[in-house]
Amino acid sequence: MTDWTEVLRDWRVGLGGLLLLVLMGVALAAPWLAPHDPNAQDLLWVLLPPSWAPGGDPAYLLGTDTLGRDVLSRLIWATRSAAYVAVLSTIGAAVLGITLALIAGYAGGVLDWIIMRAVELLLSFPAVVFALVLIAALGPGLENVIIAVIAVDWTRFARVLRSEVRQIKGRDYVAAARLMGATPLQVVLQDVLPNIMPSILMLVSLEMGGAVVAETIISFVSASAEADVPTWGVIIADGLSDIYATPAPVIAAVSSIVVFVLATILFSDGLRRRTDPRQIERRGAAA
Amino acid sequence: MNSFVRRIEETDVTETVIGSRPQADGGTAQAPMLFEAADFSVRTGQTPILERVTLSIRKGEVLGIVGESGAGKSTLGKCIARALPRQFTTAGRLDVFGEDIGQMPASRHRALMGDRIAFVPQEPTSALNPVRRIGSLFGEHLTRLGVPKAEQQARMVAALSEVMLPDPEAVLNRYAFQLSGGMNQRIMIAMAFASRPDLVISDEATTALDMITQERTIVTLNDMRARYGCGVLFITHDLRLAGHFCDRVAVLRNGVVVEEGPAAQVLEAPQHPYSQGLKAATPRLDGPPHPLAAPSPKLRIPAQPAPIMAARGLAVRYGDPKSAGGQVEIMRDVDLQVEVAEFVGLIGRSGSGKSTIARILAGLQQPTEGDILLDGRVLGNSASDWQDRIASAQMVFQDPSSALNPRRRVWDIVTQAMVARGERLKSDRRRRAAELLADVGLDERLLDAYPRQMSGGQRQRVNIARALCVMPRLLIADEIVSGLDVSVQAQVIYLLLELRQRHDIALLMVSHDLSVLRQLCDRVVVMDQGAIVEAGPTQQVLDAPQHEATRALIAAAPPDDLSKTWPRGTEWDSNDKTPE
Repeated sequence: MTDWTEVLRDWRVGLGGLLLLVLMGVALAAPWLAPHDPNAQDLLWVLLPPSWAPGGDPAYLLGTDTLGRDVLSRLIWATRSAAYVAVLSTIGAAVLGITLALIAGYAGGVLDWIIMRAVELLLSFPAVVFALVLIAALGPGLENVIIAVIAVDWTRFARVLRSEVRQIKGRDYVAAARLMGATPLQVVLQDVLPNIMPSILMLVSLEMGGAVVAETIISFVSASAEADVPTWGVIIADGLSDIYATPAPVIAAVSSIVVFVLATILFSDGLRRRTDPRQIERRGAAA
Repeated sequence: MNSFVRRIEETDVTETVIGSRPQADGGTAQAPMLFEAADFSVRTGQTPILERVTLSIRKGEVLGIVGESGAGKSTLGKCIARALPRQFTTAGRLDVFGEDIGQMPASRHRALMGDRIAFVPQEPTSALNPVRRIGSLFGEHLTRLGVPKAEQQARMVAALSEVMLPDPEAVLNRYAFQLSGGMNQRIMIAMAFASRPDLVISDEATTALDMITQERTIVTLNDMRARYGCGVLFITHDLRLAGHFCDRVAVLRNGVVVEEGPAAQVLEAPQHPYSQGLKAATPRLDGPPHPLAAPSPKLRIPAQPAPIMAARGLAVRYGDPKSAGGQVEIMRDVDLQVEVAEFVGLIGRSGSGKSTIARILAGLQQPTEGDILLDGRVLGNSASDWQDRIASAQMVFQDPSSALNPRRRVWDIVTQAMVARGERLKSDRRRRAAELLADVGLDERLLDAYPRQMSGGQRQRVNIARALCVMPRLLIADEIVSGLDVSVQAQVIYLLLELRQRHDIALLMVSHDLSVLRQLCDRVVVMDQGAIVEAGPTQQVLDAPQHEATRALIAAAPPDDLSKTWPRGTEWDSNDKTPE
């Protein structure tokens, strides 16, 4: 049995989890945290440098952009967009991917063939282009970005987990459960699903980072949300034209993305190290 | 609980060492010392793994280390290889060729390894890289030993001939997975001896092999030792094997050497209570049946035999008969039946189809041809037939650590069958689980344990308890005692016999261990290459075998009497040809 207090004590899990918690907190509290309306333009104060630089204004901690919008407020609201996309598309991709992986891996046969060919078809096409095409069809909006990310990323869950399901299906305890009269659904829920949980957790935390990166790319080419929803990709795109005058918006948005993705990687890496039996054995006591 | 088992468990760890110390031994005093441990201890944190171990091997000597799992047997080999995990600390001296292993520089240690010190691993097939040919692996080893490229081919062929592999040139062109386990193990031995090592360390080198292959591996090892006069550290859990192959034996228990001396003396007339317990728990090949093994009264009553389950004309084939490779026949014409309260043993070499029969009877695999009958009625594929089947016959799996879901607690595992019947109430299930644990002699406190928190023997009992939950009339057991220590094995045998007395359970036991079958079974069935070649009452078949395959199996088992010559010699059977 995985000892979860031991897992939480891993520095990677701790640091990654803490960063993710802070980012989620910022996202939830955005309306109260942001000092300004993220879309309020103040054309008298455009391209202000950060407050500590010469010419900075203490009212605008990270300065303003081309339209005189407060960079800090936009960054905070963009965190909210990112968290929204990350959480919902991860849940969607996980539920869809896990379900199909369980069906493909446990049932095998024709169902397995169909599901795995669908996975290969999707993987053989550039994911971002596919998402962009989907959004072009669905129209702008964060919800549609989420749908596009789910449509692409469920394949990761399906492919990785299906092979694990197949492995577990071959274990004697699955055969034993069948001999005890368990129905396939009971076997899957009680004997298979709990044993792929470590992998699911790892994929979920990786997927959060992946979803944020995908959303950034989509919004960078202005295909993501409506114009009044700040996202990190939009901030980078807007800041790029004036990067020599005020690099602050781009640096701030890029750092936010890096911190978010790094946090998810640290978290999932730590989880893997602490829950993968092979890794535990390698470090643990040998007889 | 058997008295000798209890004795093993209650033996005090701190008792003094009985038997002569190597220093006091005059016989081989002139031969140079190859390996010497002096007050050598290993611990991880506060837990001792080895405690003040003092042992030695002189040139040409075979030292056996015997003991049960967790005794610290493998740790000694790991120390020599310097492969201990980081958190382990050592104390005392561990010398090879008069140099302290712990003090020597890494480069010196590397130079010794694989050259003057050679290892023969437990799993030969996983020790050989599957994507490279044997010749390429062997050649690389020779290059490391400084053999010029031009001489390598001749050296390899000579080395493989020495370990009696037929057609060495062909073997060099094979991959490990194309050869049998026994052939791979002989290749590992050939590679180990290529450097003419002074010290060979063999850690359970024959445990993964079947009896006949084991005998052949021991013959090879013995031969090479006689030829090159090296010392061997032979780690094993098999007392009989140690008795036949080793000159001296050390019995290890919880990291302490409780007894050490000449093999015959330690194993024939052990002094320490623990070694005596081990000897008592080892079933004898020629011994009488277990005291509890008197046939159940029920077995004798019916005038007409009433098989619970029978197999009729089973055949298993893989592949498409129309394809180029044709079909591979795994099994043919198998007829088998188990009567009420009858214990039937199924023996044969690995690959003879024993486990396949067990899985087919349990319903986990479909035969290509043939029928399974339950109470004289042919079982079909309907749901009701499946329910009848699992209510009457249950399987106990070989490896309890794979057969128990690591994420379920014990009470949940043993009462799985109740959920399928719709009895989901937790209090009912826990009550039944407590009964089942009592049935298999486990403490009620283990109800909430996870499999990982239990010992191997406890897990195997949980494994059996789960099969008992539906009160089946037939247990199908696939090698359920072969992975267990002798003391635990004795417990499981006792348990099975007790269950028969109480519940009139029948048993089909797949095993390669003749001594266990002799104690336990009324009747044995011998399989060879997918067919039943002999069947009859246990004593009769084992004492007067009719078929050649049975005779080979019996001859390959190390005899109880240490004065008998074993292994007998070098005769290879037809299974051992190099594959095309």
